[in-house]
Amino acid sequence: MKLSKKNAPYIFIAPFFMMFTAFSLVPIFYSAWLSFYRVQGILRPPKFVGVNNYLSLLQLSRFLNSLGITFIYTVSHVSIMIIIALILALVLNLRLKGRNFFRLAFFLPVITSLVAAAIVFRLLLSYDMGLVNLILRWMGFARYDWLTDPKLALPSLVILGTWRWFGFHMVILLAGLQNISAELYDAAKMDGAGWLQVTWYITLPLLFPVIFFCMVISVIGSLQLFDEPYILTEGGPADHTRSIAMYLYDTGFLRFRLGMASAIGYVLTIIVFIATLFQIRILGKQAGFR
Amino acid sequence: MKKKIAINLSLVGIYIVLILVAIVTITPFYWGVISSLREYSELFDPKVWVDNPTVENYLRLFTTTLFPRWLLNSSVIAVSHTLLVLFFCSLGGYAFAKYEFRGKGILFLVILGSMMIPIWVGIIPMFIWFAKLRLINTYWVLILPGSANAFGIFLMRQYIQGIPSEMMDSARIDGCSEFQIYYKIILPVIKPVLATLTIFTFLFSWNNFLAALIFMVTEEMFTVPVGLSALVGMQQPQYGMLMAGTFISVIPVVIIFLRMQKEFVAGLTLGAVKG
Repeated sequence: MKLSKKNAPYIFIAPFFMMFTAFSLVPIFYSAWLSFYRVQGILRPPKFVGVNNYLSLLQLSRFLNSLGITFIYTVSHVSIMIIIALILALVLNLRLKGRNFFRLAFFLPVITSLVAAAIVFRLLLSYDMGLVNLILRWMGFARYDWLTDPKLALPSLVILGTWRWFGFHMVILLAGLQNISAELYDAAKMDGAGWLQVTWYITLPLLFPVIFFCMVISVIGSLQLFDEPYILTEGGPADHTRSIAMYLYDTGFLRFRLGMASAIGYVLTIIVFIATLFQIRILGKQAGFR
Repeated sequence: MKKKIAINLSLVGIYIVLILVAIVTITPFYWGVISSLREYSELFDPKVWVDNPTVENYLRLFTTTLFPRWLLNSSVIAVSHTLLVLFFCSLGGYAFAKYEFRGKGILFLVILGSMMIPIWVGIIPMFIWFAKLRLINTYWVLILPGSANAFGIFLMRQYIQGIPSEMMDSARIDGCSEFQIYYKIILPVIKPVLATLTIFTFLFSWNNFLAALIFMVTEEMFTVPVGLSALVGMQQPQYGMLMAGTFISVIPVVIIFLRMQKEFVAGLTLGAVKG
């Protein structure tokens, strides 16, 4: 078949779309269909249960617990991390010496795998031989059960997540800062504005679209938290770090309730959508939407 | 004069904060490495250095676990997957960037829209499918899905749009076939963005945990992250070996990153800053 200017594009996108349809599009619909069924193994046909899966979910305390855990994690992680990333980006934007070194150092955690990071943190936060407790003991404080105390497990996860991602957002914010024209700063300086005023009235408003971008993607990512709690705390202690995604994994692949798990998947998707739309609604104007 | 002292003091303060943050950031790496060089008894020691560095953990990792096999699996999968992605996305991205065809707008919107759907939705149907196709626990199950990468084709299209169309037109006049234009003209020109996509895709595949966890059933087929996580799940995690394994798994990533920092950051900021 000869490639002409007219039919070439179709041929060129064909491989992509074959894969895309098979592994991205169809699963979306298949999963929706599945969520209305109870799967009974691969050989027997699934049994139609209507919206039962969804209704049972709303009553399952373990699921509601996961919702709460995920929500708390998302709010704390995103806010703490973006504030840290923002401050560091503003500082590094001052063109200090050694700025490249710091940028690189802060970005290193981002390239590690979540699993690698979680494994190392599991050692660091270990009660007996963790570095954190060693340091605390050395300073005269008590040791803490970072991973097994229900009250500390989720904060430990937030610490891990923040360590892992703050560099990523800092780099993006830094790039955004560098896009702000220097003339604005010069003009402000001539008017006698101090650094704090310049930052508050000029830099931050202009940077807000980028901040907003960071917020949105980190919320989307945080809601789907899986790797870290799986390795760090295995969802424990007593489900105190069982995120929605972990609960989905549990339901679908440990208990093989695939129909229910599909329903959870869709609930998670809806939550992600709502969270994103919510942010756009509340902060969209400053971020440049509409 | 007073102002100068104030500025210098605040500079010192800033540097102190930066250094502290850098220390906090790098310590886990450092601790992981020295823990991998410690004998088990030494792991409890509150020392910052290693007294008797030993490669025992590395040796045990390679001889008593399936770690070498896991390394092989991860490598084969990551490389194959990346090559597939590069091919599909550059070809498709080129089509979207430089050709007009019916349905172009809608199709692209569909692709973009798919980026907003969490992967959790698709994982279960994929599991059922692959189970029926007897592809569970094979390399294919981690190579094929995601090879049509929405992010990738988006990246390619944005970049290729910036290439002057005259290049293609003159190539056509010179008698090049459509595919030759892609192969001889486009591909060489888009090397930077290919590099960016390579890094992202390779990292994603190498570090991928969830899919490997779900789709790989026997220990021989584990990838490195899954294998290491299995080692953790034991009653008394062998932290020395674990740190050794973690360190090794991070090396390729760090090397690639250090050599391709610019492309990496460029790819990140492409979406964030320009819109």
